[in-house]
Amino acid sequence: MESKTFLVVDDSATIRQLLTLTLRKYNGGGQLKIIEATDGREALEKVRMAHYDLVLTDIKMPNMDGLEFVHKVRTELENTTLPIIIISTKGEEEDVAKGMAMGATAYLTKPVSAPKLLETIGRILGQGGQVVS
Amino acid sequence: VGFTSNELLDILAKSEDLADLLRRSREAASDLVRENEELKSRLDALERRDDPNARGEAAEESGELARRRQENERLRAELMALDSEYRRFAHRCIEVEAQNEALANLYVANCQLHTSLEPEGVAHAIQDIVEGLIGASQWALFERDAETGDLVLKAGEGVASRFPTGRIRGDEGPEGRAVQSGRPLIGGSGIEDEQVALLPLTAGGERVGLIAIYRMLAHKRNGYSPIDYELLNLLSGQAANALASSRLFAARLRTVQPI
Repeated sequence: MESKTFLVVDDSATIRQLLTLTLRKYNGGGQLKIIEATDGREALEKVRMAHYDLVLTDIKMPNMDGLEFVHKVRTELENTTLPIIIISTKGEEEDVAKGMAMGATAYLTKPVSAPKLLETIGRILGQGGQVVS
Repeated sequence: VGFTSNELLDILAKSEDLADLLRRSREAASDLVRENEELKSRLDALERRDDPNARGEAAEESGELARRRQENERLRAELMALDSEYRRFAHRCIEVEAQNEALANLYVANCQLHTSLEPEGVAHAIQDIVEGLIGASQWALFERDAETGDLVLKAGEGVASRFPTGRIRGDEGPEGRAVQSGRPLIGGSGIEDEQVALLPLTAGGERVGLIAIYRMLAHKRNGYSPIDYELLNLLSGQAANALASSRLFAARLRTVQPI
């Protein structure tokens, strides 16, 4: 099974832990490495330095928010293929539109259910990953 | 042979008409033969039906057909039973999956509530649970001032205008009444889009504060889900202990540091 590395970006330890628990169901929990970052700046540095198959990011974070992070990945790093899922409490239509305009691949609202998250990841990564849900 | 050219042309035209008539007659004859054969074959079939042996065979076949029909009905009933069992099983799987998710939420929330020994850290964990797991957009965390009994706003979102002084009297409003009664109050406030949950925080028999939720995020405005109730229950019990412990620890630090 192909190994994958996901980056989870959220300033809340609770949300990071919960997302990590959920993501372990992806690929049956095997061959999946989960790296954490607490804000956009740290995440941008990590994306600059290493390859990730998927990024899950919050919006409201200190230092650099999720929208700026997504924008910088797409423009500064010129990485247009990295799938980035925004997971935010901001769920109004304009928030979603803004996130997608910045270059997000998908936009989910908190609290996100495990099946919904896994289904979205499965859809984005295609047949490459089995979704155990 | 004595025909004029006009007579010859006339004969030629007639011979062509004749050839055409002949061709059409041949086609008609051929159709008649085919029809005849079909009729013969039907007649044979009708004669066979009158044959006593054929009648026996037909009866046997009809019996077999009935048996198969019966078997088919039995299999169909079995299939329906299996389908219903499968649906029941699938439904149970979804229930178990939802329970797992709820347990994971509770486990993580509980862990985070007790991770920090600082009141700010506990308040941050409460914020994560209330906003990120329950989905509140307007909420407040009050600590009860042990001396005055007032409720002091410690953390929250979207409630600055509701509590401009950052403090309410201990016997004031639904918040004060909830703390005094020690009983959680969950339900509509009568105001559109408001889903109020007032959770008094009690640790060691002492009222230490209150978590108040007033409004949920847009996509959660259809009310609290079962897991939300579990999380609210967890908060009313564990958040109080975590807050009380962190306050005791902070007080202890304050007394130890000068020494």
